[in-house]
Amino acid sequence: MIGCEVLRRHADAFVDGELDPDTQIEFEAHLAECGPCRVHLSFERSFKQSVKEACVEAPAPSGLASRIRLALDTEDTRRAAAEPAAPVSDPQTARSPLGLAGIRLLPMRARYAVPAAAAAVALAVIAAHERGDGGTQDVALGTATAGTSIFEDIVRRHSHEHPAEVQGEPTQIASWFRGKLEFPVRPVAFPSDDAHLVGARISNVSNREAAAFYYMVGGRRVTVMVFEPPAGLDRVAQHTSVRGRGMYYGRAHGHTVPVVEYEGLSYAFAGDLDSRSLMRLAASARLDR
Amino acid sequence: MALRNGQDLAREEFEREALKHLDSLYGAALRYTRSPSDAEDLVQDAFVKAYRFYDRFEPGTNMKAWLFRILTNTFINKYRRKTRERKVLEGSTAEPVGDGVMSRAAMRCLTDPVSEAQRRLIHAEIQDALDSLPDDYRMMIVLADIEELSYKEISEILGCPIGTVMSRLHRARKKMQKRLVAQAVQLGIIEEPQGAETISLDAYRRSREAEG
Repeated sequence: MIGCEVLRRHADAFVDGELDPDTQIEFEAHLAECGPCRVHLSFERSFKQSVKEACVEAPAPSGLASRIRLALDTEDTRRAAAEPAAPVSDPQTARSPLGLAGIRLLPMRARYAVPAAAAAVALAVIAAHERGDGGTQDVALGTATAGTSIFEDIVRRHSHEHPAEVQGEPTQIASWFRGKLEFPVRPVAFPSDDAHLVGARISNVSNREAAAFYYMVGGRRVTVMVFEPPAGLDRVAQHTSVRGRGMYYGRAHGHTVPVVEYEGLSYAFAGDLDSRSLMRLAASARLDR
Repeated sequence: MALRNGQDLAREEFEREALKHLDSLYGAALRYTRSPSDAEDLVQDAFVKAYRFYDRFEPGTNMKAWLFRILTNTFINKYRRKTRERKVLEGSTAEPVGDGVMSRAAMRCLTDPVSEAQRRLIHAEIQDALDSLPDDYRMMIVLADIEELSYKEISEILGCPIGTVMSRLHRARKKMQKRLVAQAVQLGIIEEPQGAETISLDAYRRSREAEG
């Protein structure tokens, strides 16, 4: 028969279920007869239980999974770049005749020289904002805010390059959408000759139906998500005006996501462009007639 | 569309298997770092590292324990303040923690809190006590009590013998309990600190003053 001292010394192992079955049985026999040890052991057990209860896991913040997926994308890109034959970081390969499937995601925050244009005051503000952030750890406007994940979601869907479900002329693409969504969808067009609609698909933004339009703009991928305006966008997004065009914008993972409204629908832009060019692009967008 | 290559499949499989444990890993990271933003960074770093070394993961073995090993090592190597703490803990100056941390009356009282309010109070004190532990001890409580991993798994995660896991876990619990009792006395949850030999005299005095 084991004594109180042995039992106390191995109380942790007993509570943690780490004793071999024979010893366990001996412990239980002792406990059946020893009141003080029972008090002791039930305290240890309840303490372990309370620690677990007190530290109930808070679920991971909603944006964390997509943030990790983006980090894995970057890792994939890095790996592909390390393989000699893989055409990754050369922007020219983005013009691949394979269409979207052949286009690799450029490393985040790809920047390129933009022809100087009249810089609106708002853009100076954005540029200042941009300088302040650092590296790939960049998180959106406070992950705790309910609406924030919308920007992360848009950036993630852009980065994932989901295949287009429809390709063709803008009018064909528009008619393909007929009856598929709760709201009528039309792609936007850009005045620049450098911007082309290349495909589209049904998508989803923060659990609301959306149309995703894929464009190539000067050899870079731009995704335009169209959805019904979510409530409270004004609380999580900044408002600004670019070339007289009012718009919201939010940031996620180093991307700036401008959102403009046309005829009661929200058009969000994510692209492998620097934020200035992307906001100008958003401001220049017109609805296709 | 395009053919999917091996890497795409590995990526898919990794996401499917590893992201299952996201909440657990985030919870542990939050306890380790005590800061939500550090916790997010830590979890992201751990996932990228795990993905990078995914070919070294043996299929069929415990994915959760493997991810926890990477998370814990990343924390130890990159996020915790300094190694100074560890030396103190392992050295001869480590304070011996005996069995008699508290009286039986105190144990009974903490085992069965009389009210929901008391239970909540105790939970809050437990969280504080955990946060106040040194890193090495806190990791023990997280792995053994919150994640309920076995001594063997913990010893593999930390790369130390099972004996070390046991003694560290024991010390960690006693340290938390000691603090918890002191707080409970102060808060008046434990009315009468019998066996005052083990309870901080200061806490006792404060409780008398509070009673007034």
